[in-house]
Amino acid sequence: MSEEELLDVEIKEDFDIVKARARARAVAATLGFELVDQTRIATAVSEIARNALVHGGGGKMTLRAINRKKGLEIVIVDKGPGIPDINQAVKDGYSTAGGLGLGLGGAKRLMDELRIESSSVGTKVTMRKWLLGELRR
Amino acid sequence: MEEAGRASFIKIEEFLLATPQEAMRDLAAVRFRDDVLRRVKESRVNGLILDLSGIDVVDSFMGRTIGEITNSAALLGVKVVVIGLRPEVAITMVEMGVSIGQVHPFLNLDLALKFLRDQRSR
Ligand SMILES: Nc1ncnc2c1ncn2[C@@H]1O[C@H](COP(=O)(O)OP(=O)(O)OP(=O)(O)O)[C@@H](O)[C@H]1O
Ligand SMILES: [Mg+2]
Repeated sequence: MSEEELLDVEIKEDFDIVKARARARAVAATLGFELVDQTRIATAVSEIARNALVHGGGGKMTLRAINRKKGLEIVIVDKGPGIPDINQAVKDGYSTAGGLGLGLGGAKRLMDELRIESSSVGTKVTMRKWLLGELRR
Repeated sequence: MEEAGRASFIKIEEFLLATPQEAMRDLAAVRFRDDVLRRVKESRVNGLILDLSGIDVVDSFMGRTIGEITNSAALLGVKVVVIGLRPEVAITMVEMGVSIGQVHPFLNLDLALKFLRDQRSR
């Protein structure tokens, strides 16, 4: 797989969360990630895709294979109201929606990198997982 | 996998075995929760066995929903055990910090049944 953009997955309803994480898992498997990492990736995608749907009013996921350092990049964007205080939002237990507030913090722990860019016109979450990341940590 | 969320229910002795068959969308997970609790009540079982072998992702939503099942069933006076949790899912849950309530996990159905029968004869 080259450093190309793979097909986007639109996130418009709850079933799209299942589709997005299934797609991410399949691509991760193709890239050579083993089962535990595939599951970490699918679970992180599930959290961030649900956030885009529930808090951001819907969005889309883009997957990209990173050639040189061998890994997978996942970008999930929405055009929602944004996250006013990102540091607070990432803290476990912080939720404005009566949730567990585990999504962002949990996804961060499961991935090697998680970056959030957010403004009043939308949110972009970029996550990366490196092959052999666990051995390097 | 178009309509993700099928589940099966089987009564074994006086226990209910509930098994989600595939990945569940959020709506299906909530429906499954309500379905399990209704069946627990209606079929007057003494124990609930939740077989999670078909679940490949337990995120915060799924974890919370499973927790609602196990805690509610316990409140109904039913012993709840969980079987079939995939190792990679267990690792991910621990790393995320997702909990599914006060449950007795078992490696397989035989061990779960043995536990439930023992509880029964106390
Ligand atoms: N895409 C987004 N757009 C706007 N706000 C967001 C977005 N993602 C997260 N947030 C904000 O950050 C908070 C924390 O998110 P997080 O995913 O950790 O918890 P949650 O979604 O509230 O609950 P959980 O994910 O545990 O069910 C949310 O309650 C919400 O206020
Ligand atoms: Mg969330």
